[in-house]
Amino acid sequence: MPGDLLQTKLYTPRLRPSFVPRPHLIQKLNQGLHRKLTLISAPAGFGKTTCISEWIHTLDYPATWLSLDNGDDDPRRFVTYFIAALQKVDMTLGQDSEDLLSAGQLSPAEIISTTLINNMLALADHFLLVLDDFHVIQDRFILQFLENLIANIPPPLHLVLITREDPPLPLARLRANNLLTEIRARDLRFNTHDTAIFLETLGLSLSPKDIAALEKKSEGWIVGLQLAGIALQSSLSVQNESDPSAFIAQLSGSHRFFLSYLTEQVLDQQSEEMRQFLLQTAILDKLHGDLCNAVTERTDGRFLLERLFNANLFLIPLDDEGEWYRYHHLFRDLLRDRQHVLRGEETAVLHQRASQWYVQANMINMAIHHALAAQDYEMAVDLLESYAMQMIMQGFVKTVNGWVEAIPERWRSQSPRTNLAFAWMHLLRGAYPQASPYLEQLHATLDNDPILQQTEAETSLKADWLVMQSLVLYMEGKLAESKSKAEHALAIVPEQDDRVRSLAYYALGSVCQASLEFDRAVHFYQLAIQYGRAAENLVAEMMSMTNLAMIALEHGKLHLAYEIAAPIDERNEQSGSLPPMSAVVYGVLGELFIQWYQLDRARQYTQRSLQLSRFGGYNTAVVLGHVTLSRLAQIEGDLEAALEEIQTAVNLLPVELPEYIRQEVTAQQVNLYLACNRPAAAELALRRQGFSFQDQFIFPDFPSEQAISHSLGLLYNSSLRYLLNLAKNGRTPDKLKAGIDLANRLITATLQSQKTLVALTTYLLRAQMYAACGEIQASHSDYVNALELAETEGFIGVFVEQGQPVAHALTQSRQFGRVSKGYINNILAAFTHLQSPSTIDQVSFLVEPLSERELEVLRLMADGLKYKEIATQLFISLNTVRYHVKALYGKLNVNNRTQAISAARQLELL
Amino acid sequence: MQGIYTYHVEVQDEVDEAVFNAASPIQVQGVRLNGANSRLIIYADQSGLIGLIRHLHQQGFVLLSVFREPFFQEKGNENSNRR
Repeated sequence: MPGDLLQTKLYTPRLRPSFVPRPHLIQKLNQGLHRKLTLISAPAGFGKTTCISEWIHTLDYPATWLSLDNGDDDPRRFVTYFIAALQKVDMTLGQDSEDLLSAGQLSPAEIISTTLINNMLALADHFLLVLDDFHVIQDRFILQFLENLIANIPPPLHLVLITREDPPLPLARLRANNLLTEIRARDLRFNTHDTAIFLETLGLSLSPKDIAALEKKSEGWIVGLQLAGIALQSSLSVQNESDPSAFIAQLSGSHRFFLSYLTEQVLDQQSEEMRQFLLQTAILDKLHGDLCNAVTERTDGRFLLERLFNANLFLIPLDDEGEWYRYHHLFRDLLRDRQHVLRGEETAVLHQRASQWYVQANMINMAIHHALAAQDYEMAVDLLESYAMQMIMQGFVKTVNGWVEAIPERWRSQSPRTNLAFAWMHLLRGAYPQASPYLEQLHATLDNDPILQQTEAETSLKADWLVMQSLVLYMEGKLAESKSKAEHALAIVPEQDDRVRSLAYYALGSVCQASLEFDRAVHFYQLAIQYGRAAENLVAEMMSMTNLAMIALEHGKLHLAYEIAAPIDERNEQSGSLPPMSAVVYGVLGELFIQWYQLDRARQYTQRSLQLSRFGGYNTAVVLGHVTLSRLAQIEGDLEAALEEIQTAVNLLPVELPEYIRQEVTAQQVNLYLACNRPAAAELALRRQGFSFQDQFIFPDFPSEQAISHSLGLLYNSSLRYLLNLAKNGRTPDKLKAGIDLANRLITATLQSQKTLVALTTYLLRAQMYAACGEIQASHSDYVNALELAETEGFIGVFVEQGQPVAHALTQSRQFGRVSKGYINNILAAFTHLQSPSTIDQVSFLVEPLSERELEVLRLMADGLKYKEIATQLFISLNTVRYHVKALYGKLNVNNRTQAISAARQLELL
Repeated sequence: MQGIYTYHVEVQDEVDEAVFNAASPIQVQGVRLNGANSRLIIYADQSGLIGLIRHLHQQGFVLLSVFREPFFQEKGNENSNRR
């Protein structure tokens, strides 16, 4: 983060000499020390911070404090300060986690919290960690991080949360298990006794009746009492004859009104000089003598701060040196209200001065904050241009995003590097729609501004932009244009810019891979890795290695894929860092171990892939992760779990995703629905992809044989499985012939393009189709082809996923060409470990699929149309509608419209 | 003003009390179904109530109404907390 950590945020507030002791609260807090968590939850002004500060000063325990503010609702920033707070107790705490933070993108919350928990377990002494103003935290990542920490809290740690509202953490559970100590508003408020002591500390000597009246009016609200006391103090000293009873009698209304009224009273009693100072410095979150001088254009800022502190005027010290302070939040808010009303126009100038001071102090976060508050967008954009890329690549995404959103549209286009940084961030996560606005802004700036591109830095920016365009065009399937942009980028990129060079080679590798020029793709990926390493650009290196592993996997080179992917896993293990961009590598490893039939490892890698891709926002990898988990559950015979996983993948599909993802999801849907004896659902899924099985078998256009992709191959194979299922049930065996024709073309195409994984499945399906047609020799021949193709790399999963018919065929013959007996025994052994499929609820499959017309009627019924309206819409008679309705009720095993719609939704027919 | 009261928070759709309590900042004392909606009954002060409402919002519930029970009886004797 540009600028050092603000040490003032880690300062344990010191107690004023005149504080009111709260022994009953200290006792309650001490009694709760054996529990996991202490929660101090009360509105502003109830003395929460003072109470905990007093407690800490009575304890033998070491304690560390973190004062949170709005900017800390950023995962990266929160974790950085959290570790800094822990290191105040023990410098070794969180050192492992610094690797996690330096990885550019944050590792998942559970990993960071688990690493810190393990660190804390090694501590011998107990300690307290206080998170003050926790109500500013709403970020899911941070809450997940704390939820995990609280659930597994290490014995040395006692956590204290100070907040204005109960945080969205599972506290009810902790409360029920007596693991939570709570101090709330009714515990904190001053009673008559406390009020009397407090007023004495202010030098006020009131009658018991006045004290009781004041306590009643303020309802024990401490900040209200303090204001009332100060107002009374001044009033009595100015007018000796002033009557405190009359003053107290006129107080009324809600806390807010009470406060507003009293603030006015207090301000009116200050000198003009002090009132000006208070109003002008109220724009600051933290106060420093020099900063106040810069903002007010005075020279005595430090002296005035000391005066305010000594007058007990809501100034809270933030260090022991008396340099940094802050106003009490409530007091500050009211001052700001008045400042705004009285001097709205001046406020922007004050913020500008603060921003300039923070730039000088290299505290860029605060400088940008004040530039935005001043609506000085020129300054904000200048600062963003210098720091945004660095901050985004370090993971401060939310913070920078907040700033960009605060800048009006027309100013954003003047910030090409910031837009570039955001566009990269989204593109690297595969989130094209989110990248679009930034790309458009970049386009507006770079393509239309001839002044740019003059200097080397601007040429580099232009090359960066060309690479990005190349990747976008690649994602849109415009391969020739994509290649041209990448080559253009390589032609102009300055010699020393290895980062852009590595990304350009990565783009070229991707284009070649999509064009099925695998040798050239491998060459370009190797160059991308080489330049990526030189530039220490983990992104290009990791993505190129991932794609190399994918190519090897799809080509059936399982050992090569493992050799490429395993070192990335090892490197992650050694560094303790799990960059989200390694999600796809773990996906590759998951698939590898399915094929080698080590299902536990396959599940472990797939879950890790899923976890990382969820965190990184890689939607494609999330969907594919659920597809793989569905396949794993199906292999293990847990069809319910398999259905749940595939449903999760389907639910994610409306998010804009490449077509190949939809194809992979459909392929698994079809395989699973058939395993669950739900042919109607399988057929519907295939129909949505352009297949038809009504009169004849029709499939989507077969691409040129060189261009058959892995996912399209999977989809075609799933349609073959559906045909096989129809034939097994004695229906339409004639369509098998068309299926065998498709299989022939598919095998030729996939062998030519070396898509071994798809070819293997097609061989096994064609073998079963031949067997169903009684062509036993042809079937045996296909089993031999599949086994010979699979043996060297040790494929097992692809056989097991075909189910028992393949096991049966493998046990029927003694000889399969040159394939070793041992290998066949390994495959058969995997089948023996299979569980019988779990039973599926009767409602979850259809014995007989609905016809096209019945489906149409059903959909119109679900839309709420009456029979007569359905008849009109479909140009059929009312009786025909009734006939279809009766038929579909029978097939769905229901008796009325509501049940039919419900059952159809369950079967995903609607 | 800052005491603990019984609040009824009505939200759209059904709420499973056990599932909800597992992640809630405030213990829901009971859930009454009111047609297609649910009425959650809680004992809370202002901070607890605000925390619960924010939690409901973040969980995607549609908030329909909040009201305090007409008998302004605090849980326990409010004065017993005063020394």
